Amino acid sequence: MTLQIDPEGVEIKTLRAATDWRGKRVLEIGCGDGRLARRLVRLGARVIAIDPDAEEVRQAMATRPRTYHEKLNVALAEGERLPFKTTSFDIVVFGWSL
Amino acid sequence: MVHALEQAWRVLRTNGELVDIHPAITHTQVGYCRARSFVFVGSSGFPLIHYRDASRALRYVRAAGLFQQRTSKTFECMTYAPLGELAYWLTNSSEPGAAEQSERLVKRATQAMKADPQGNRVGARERIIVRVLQKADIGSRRR
Repeated sequence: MTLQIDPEGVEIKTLRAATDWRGKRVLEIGCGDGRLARRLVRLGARVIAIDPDAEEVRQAMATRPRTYHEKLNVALAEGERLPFKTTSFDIVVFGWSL
Repeated sequence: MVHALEQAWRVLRTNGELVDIHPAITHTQVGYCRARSFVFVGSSGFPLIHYRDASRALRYVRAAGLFQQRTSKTFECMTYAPLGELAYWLTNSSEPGAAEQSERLVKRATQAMKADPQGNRVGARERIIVRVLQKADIGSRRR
């Protein structure tokens, strides 16, 4: 894959300025290949990323750096039926997925 | 969309935040880079109309008292790829039937770049909006 999305890193700077991600428990809904979820980990968040597409989930898991294993988990799930307890996240992210 | 936002509200802690990221313009712009600037060649012909629905859904849950807007920021997001891959990405990002139009547009941008001695790479530009909404108190005006 040679697609380069935002190589200048403007997105991560904007997200850093938008809110404090450090130590926050974050749910990303519709994570696709996990590109944004990995950036959120770089901002200091602990991320659970979900997607309804099994192939995207597989790819997101496969491209997860070893050092992110404790900070980033990816699961197969839909935004309309979240398999999580009430009041369990600090931040919920829809990245191009709403 | 509204149901997904209601689910997000449910799993968020008190004062938790909802962050929504989506294009602020309806057409992706295609062009090429010259030094640090972007030379616009054309817009994708197919509007990203589903993001209008996303904005409507956000307005709905705010009006319902589930969330309060805290802040919003915009930024320009560039995407680069070889010709075929960029055309595929553009097509993937818009409506069915856009493949040929996307390919023509990327070819035009590639030709324009080659004709410009300072042109270096073809890319797509989107203006992206990041909205941060805060979960409203339980006792606020829920429907």
